[in-house]
Amino acid sequence: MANERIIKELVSPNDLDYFSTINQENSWLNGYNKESYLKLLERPIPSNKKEEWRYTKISEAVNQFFLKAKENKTLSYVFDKNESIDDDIHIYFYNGTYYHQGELPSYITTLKISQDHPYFESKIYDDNKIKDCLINDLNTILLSDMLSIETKNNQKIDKMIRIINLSHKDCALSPRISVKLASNSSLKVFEHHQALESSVLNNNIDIHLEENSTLDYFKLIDKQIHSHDLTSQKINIGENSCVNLFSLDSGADTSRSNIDVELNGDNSAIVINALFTPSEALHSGNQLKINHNAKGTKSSLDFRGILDDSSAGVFFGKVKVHKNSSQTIANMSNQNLLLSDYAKISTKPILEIYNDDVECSHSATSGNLDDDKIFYIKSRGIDEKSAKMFLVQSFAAKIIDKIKHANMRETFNNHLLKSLKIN
Amino acid sequence: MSTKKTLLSIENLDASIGDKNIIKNLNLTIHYGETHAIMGPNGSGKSTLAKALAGHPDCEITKGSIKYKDIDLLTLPVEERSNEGLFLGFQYPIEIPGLSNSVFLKAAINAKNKHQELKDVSATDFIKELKENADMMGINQSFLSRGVNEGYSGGEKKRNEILQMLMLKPTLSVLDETDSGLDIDSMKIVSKGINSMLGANTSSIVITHYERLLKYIKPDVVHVFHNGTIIKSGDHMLARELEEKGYEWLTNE
Repeated sequence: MANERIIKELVSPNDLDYFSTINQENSWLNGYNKESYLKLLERPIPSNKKEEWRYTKISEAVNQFFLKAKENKTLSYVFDKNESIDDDIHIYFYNGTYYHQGELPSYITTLKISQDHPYFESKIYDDNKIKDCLINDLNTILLSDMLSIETKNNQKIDKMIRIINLSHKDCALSPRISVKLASNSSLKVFEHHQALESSVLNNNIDIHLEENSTLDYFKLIDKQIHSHDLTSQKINIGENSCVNLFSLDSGADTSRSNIDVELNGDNSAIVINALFTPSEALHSGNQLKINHNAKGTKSSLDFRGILDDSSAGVFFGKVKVHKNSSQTIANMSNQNLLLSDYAKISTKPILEIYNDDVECSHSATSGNLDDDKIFYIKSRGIDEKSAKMFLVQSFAAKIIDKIKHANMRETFNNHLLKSLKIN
Repeated sequence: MSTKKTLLSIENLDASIGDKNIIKNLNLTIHYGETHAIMGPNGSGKSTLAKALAGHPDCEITKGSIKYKDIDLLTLPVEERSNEGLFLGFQYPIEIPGLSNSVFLKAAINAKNKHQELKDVSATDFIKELKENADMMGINQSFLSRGVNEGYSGGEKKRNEILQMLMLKPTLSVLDETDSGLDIDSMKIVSKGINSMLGANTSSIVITHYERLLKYIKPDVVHVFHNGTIIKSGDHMLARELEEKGYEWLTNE
């Protein structure tokens, strides 16, 4: 493609100077930031002619990222004294640094750029070998602290680990999280992107499970005004292990979630239940790539969109069952509720199967609220607004009710109610 | 009859669905405490009458008036008709997966209470009453936390309609073919529910094809509907006559 524009065209020559000195106190990481920057400059701007980016305009997010990244700030997070302390572990990401109160348990490490040089470097290097993508490059340019959660064999952790991404106005954030579960262990993580205004977030999460382990991962993304929220989540699952992922995304100017799953071990499983609820002119894009690479693997994807005003939603799911993956079970569903005549949804569930001994399904639906149901509810004395609210909630309940963890179910439900405004 | 107080008065009513005029110049008066059966062949407009009373958006009133409790019913939105004590038992109850029966019923009762400027029902009173009525209707407790009519059989849906009626305690219940698709046992249960509601201050319109139901629910008046209007009225003996002779002897006249 001779005419393809590259990212270099989006930035000014002065930017290179800035990104060469971003982590002055730490030269090795600075070199790394710079290398990513140079790599990124030569990348083509993903145009909507590309299948993966057809319904997500990324150039504005990249543009904003460079603008916000240059805003020099020396802010640090101040803990709210009135904050209720429960049994969960709370970790805050603010202005490039992870904060927590008290001592962290041994299985959680925050890697400080100034302190953990050799260990840190090898980690970034490992991550980058398996990930070569735009979101990753953007993340690396501003990379500073990194959060690492690693269980030991047979370690079952009951406490919820809460990771809260906070913003200040006009900021660019690059959180990076690595989660590794050793054999026969279990872990629960809750990641919350709190309402960010005028910010760009490039989030990288790496998840790796050895055999016989279970990870429950909850992800909540508040409504992001004038903001861009990009997440790349890479998940590798070993034998007899399972990842349960729940997410609720209320949309951003650009909200893009890439989830890449490798079901590498026999009988490994991924279960994703997700809601996306953009309103106004916000966007929510979901891209999934699931590879069934081993026998008896299972994937179950249930995505529900509730789209209001002139918002736009995207579902692109590709489940690939490889030749040696017999007895695979793969189910993928995307259902959408359009609450306004101007809301849009683009959905494409794809199955690619190279084995005969499999059980696979895929489906997509979209529609408006059912008038017969509204009439039925109103005929029992309930006003129109409440009737619609009941129907939207009942649509979302099919996802929310699958959350077994009671606190999380309540948290998700409350956020859902907050994000919906029914006229 | 003339000393009785009028609950519902329909005068010269024309109603259409789409371009089709279905109800034609209908007149009907129902007093407090009365049960009226409406019978008639398929397509005669019985269900359209039920829709017109409940305020279904597909049903357009083109002429005439409906007075209910001395209010112009046609000016009331659907939900207010219900809050004023009008209940429609649906011929085909709607399934709402994900909205639990008990949450739905509680919201309905509280909407009515609010309309009457009463406090919300207490959780314990609500559950107690719901349990009692569910028992009477032979509805298993586990159904109450399930989605409204979700995966119910035809008979279960109809019993659930009557359960909702019992909980909402309407002044006028309009039961649209509540007996269709019911086996004998369910028919008895449903009739028991309906009869328990009837009294000096409540009335009902029972729309049915068969005399069967009227063995259990004794109507004060039986009307025969044809071509969108009432062509004959009588007492419950008329229903028996219809069962024996069919509708033809009336519709061919």
